[in-house]
Amino acid sequence: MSDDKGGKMTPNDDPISETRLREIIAAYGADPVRWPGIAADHADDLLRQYPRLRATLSEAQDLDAALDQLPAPEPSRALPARIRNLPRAMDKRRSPGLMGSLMSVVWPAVPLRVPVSVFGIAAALGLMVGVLTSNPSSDLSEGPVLLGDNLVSLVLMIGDM
Amino acid sequence: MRAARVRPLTVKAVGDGTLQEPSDESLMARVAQRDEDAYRCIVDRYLTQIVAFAARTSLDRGEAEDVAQETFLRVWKHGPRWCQTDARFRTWLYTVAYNLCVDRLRRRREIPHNTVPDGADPNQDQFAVLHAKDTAKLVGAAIGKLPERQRAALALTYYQGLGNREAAEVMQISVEAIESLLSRARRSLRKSLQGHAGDIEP
Repeated sequence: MSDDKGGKMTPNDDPISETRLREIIAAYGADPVRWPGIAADHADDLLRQYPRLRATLSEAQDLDAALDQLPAPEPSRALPARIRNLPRAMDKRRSPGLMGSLMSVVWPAVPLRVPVSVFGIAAALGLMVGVLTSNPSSDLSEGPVLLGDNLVSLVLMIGDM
Repeated sequence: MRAARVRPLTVKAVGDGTLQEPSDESLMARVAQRDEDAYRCIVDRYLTQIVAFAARTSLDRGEAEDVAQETFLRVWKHGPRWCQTDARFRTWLYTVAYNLCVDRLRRRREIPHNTVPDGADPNQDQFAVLHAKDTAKLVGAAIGKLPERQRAALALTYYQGLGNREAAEVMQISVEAIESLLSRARRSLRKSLQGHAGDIEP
């Protein structure tokens, strides 16, 4: 499985030294399937060539056996369905809903916040005009003080909303 | 946004009559075209592996599942962008998962304790089950004590079966550095488990 220094060992290749093989066992364990390319391909030859490494190999086998005792963690039952449906969940979250769809028909090609803001400003202005005109004492000739009072009460009203 | 339906996913018959699954890369090309079936194939192929990798990098199961969910969310969201790179899909997927694990572990900044999943074989007798669980606990605890990068290197190469070059790419380090992490990890594990040699089932 390990793929570094892969390829076939040819007569011109540098042979793997005892020290190098010891390093490989120390890092990848006893199973040649996990060794890097050339060492994996020639595992039997190498082990025959370096009998002194049998003890190292045996130690590595013991550790591999212990590591293999750790079972593979499994995902919970609900997880696969949740992850498989992520694209749909994302689409749903992005979908604009009834109001958004209506707004996109009435006012297409602009973000939803634009018509909402315009509507809000228009409503506020309408309210202001309504308050100013419905109050019988709101005669502009009464001077700026009364007009100021009206504006303050309007702001308070909007604040209360 | 509605997913575009591309061609249905098929398993190709190759020369000798055996069936060939579509490659990750061809599936991702379909994911880039918003093909949900292709996305689901990718999920089915890699979900267990990514959860196992995240859990073995010493996140608890809940966090490992969060990492898996975030990883696959990125597969769906960044599929079109991935298709413009030369990266091998599996390497990219593990890189995303690894980076998410590292982020979480750094945020947590505590020594994690490995949770040992209940994966016992129902055919084993009661004593053997207890014994296997004890061994798994010991091994899990020993792995949990390893530094974060050593755990990740071990999880990628030993348990997930990635080659040393691919693991190095995932962790963005050299092959020599991976080898050094693995040697140190195995040395520490041997030391930790030596005291329990009698408790570990051969």
